[in-house]
Amino acid sequence: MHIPDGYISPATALAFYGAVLPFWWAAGQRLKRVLTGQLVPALALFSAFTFAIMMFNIPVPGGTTAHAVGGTLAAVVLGPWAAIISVSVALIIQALFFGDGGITAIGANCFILGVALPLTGYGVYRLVSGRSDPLSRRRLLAAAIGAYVGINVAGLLVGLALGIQPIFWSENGRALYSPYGLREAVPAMLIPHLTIAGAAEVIATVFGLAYVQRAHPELLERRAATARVAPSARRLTLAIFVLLALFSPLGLLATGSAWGEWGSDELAQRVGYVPRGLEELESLWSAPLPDYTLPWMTETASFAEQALAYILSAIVGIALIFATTFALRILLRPRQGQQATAGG
Amino acid sequence: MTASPTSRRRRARKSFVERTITGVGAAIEQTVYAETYARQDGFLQRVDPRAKVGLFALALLVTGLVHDLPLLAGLWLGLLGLGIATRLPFRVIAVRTMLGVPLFTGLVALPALFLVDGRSLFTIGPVGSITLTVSDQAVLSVATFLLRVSASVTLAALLVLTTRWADLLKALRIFRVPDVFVIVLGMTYRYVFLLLRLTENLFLGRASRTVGRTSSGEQRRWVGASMGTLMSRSLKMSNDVYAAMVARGFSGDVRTLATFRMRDEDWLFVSLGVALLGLAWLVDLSR
Amino acid sequence: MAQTGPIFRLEGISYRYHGRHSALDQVDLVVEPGEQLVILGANGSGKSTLLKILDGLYRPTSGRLWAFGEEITDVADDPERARWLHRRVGLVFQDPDVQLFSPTVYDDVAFGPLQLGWPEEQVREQVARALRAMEVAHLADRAPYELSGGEKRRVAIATVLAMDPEVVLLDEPTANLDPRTRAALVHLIRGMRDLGKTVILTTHELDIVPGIATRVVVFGDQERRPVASGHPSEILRDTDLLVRTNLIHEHLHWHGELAHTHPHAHDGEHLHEHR
Repeated sequence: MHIPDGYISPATALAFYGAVLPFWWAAGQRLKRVLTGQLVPALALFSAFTFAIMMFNIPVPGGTTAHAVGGTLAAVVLGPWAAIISVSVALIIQALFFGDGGITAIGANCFILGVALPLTGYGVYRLVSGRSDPLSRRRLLAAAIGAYVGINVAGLLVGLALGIQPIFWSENGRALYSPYGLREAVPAMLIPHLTIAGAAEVIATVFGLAYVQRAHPELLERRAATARVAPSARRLTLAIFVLLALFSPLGLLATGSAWGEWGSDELAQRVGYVPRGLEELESLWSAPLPDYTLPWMTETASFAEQALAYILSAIVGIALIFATTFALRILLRPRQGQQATAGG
Repeated sequence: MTASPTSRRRRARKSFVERTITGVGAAIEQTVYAETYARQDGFLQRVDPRAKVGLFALALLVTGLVHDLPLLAGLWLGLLGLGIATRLPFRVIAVRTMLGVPLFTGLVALPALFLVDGRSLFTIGPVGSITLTVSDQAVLSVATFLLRVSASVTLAALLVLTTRWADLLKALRIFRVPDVFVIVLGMTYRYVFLLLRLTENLFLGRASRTVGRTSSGEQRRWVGASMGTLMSRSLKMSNDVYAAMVARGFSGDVRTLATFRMRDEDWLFVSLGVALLGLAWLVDLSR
Repeated sequence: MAQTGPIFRLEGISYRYHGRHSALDQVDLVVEPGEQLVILGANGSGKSTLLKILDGLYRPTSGRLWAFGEEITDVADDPERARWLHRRVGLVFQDPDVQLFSPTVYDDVAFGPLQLGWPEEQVREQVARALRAMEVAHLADRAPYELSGGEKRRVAIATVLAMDPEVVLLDEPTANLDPRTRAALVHLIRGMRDLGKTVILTTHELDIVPGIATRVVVFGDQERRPVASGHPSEILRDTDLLVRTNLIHEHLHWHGELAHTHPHAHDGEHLHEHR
């Protein structure tokens, strides 16, 4: 889950530092205005809390247990800006003092787990929950979906960050950092996040939020009433859109084996063997976009054309995600003043 | 917390309660031990924290950039030597720098031996229809990866084991990390301990009360309630801490003492270190 | 310290949490310079709230309040005057974990003086003096989680002493300590008299009162205001008062066939004789 030192190149690490800094700055400015003098102790205690819940082992279906990040839970209860800082500070403490996650990779881990996860999780939560009562069951469902989407976006980003390493940083065929390409790294990260880690995150978020609804309703009601710490749903939607669109071109890098990647056919030719799991994973992964080129594009299309086509298809994909979300909102809308009890 | 699906499954026998208690206990113990070594006398312990943090950051960068395999191996061995020179027990260095992340990385990197393409070195099989080929580039890739991760982890471990964390925090200022952020980090670390102890007590309390198996629904509700308890405790604590800060004249601006003095020995350490690292980089570029 | 007249004067101070739950009701109180005042009261009698109002952290719901001859009723809303008050009145919180928020003991003790904007040399001098007064100089580079309960209390007091306030407010400083640690702490608190400090201390532990107090004010847990004030020996002898305010309770004993009741304090062991 956390990227250790040595897994990504210094250039990648630096790029992630560059990506995370504006979010820290914006969050700091926003929180300074809302919390005024209380900023320091509030952030310290929020961060310590986030750190502590990362230590919880969550029982997930199937008899195993896993850790949760709690980023969506923090965003729902404390607000997305506070979540950005508190998850980031918790991760920095882990990297510096507890040896979990690399020091050079702090930027990457904070961007993925501290920014992308809570923001997507919170965005989906807001979109699904709409204007429902903060203590309704619909909020729990919204938080569950948000947590699941958030943790999987994080898993995908880790997979992408690792997967581009051998593409950019190889020397005469020798990988300098993490040796797995996108076709291995992305499924390897996504599969556990779609299952075990996803379940742990959903359980932690739903049961944590249910407890807060029951024992500390004032926290949620106050947030709903002021909503000052929260960016508007519309701006969040836009932010998520931009975020996803920014990362989608990474898939471009996976076009064709020219980049040093292997599909299972090529692997079969070369090695004479394809691990069964890998084959299944690949069909799962590449089904929506076979070979990362689009069906209606000719083999001879130039790189620029392919890039454009890819970005367009990414936009289509993202739009479909939003369409699904809004469809959910409509389906879950309470009927004629009836209290929302969906999700049971 | 570099959790992998494999490590999750391997330890799945224990209940989530026992595993949390063990995890929290280990985290607390590990840092307390790190403090103990940082207090002992030794060559690295005596270096000014700012000098150490600055040089180690440069070393991490060079370790990240180096291409040459023997050079990486040399760096790693040099760091292990440094650990012994600064009187850290070898067992501690070994546990910190070979188990944990490097071991995990070794397991992760194993399949890459058969996946990375290149000139075939040897083949295993065919066993049934399966043939595994190991190429020269695969061996080099995995070796580079493992050595780089080990050297980086050793660097981080040396820094933490020889620097008291309060000094480490203050040293962050040389990277122009804002004071407010340093204070938040320090305060977080301080209250992490409090909340970890509370977590431990919550789970111990459950362990002592639970006889036999409980339903999974009940377990999840309980975990949710524990997180909620922890959250309300932290929120109350943050209000009280704020009051305690205000009572001592805090008005939002943070003022701190500059406590370090660079001695000639520290300058010597920094200049020697920079020279060595620069040389390593030059050697790497010339290859 | 040129002012004449009382240090604190309270007139009809009331405080309600969230506008509902009443913590203090119509409190009138005067504190003179140099007093070592012990406020005795059972849990929930509003003692902690009173100290936070005296330190200008809470704004009273109603009533008026003066410190050093100046009205400070609204001081909680005025950061500039609040700092003036915090310079002269120091509060030691009940939970030392709240008060010790810095990486090391030294940083914690230096926090207050630094916020006051003193020059570095003066800060270091004050910190050294406060650490010595509370006998914790050897703990200077320890982290808060490495301290025992008694050490935490002493450091917490040192953080306040370092600011050299004229008045020290102590909220249940001896709660949850073993008898020997408690005795040592009482000794140190008594030493503050020699430093010329006015001390206001809350507790529900009767046995520490004679060692510290020059005057005792008893808070009723029903009334949420002072119900008695006087010399320690006088108050501690008034069994009816102490039972009524829930500071001691009637205790039923069986000694063989002989049963009797006698008033009994909350903490510690006791010996008594039978006729």
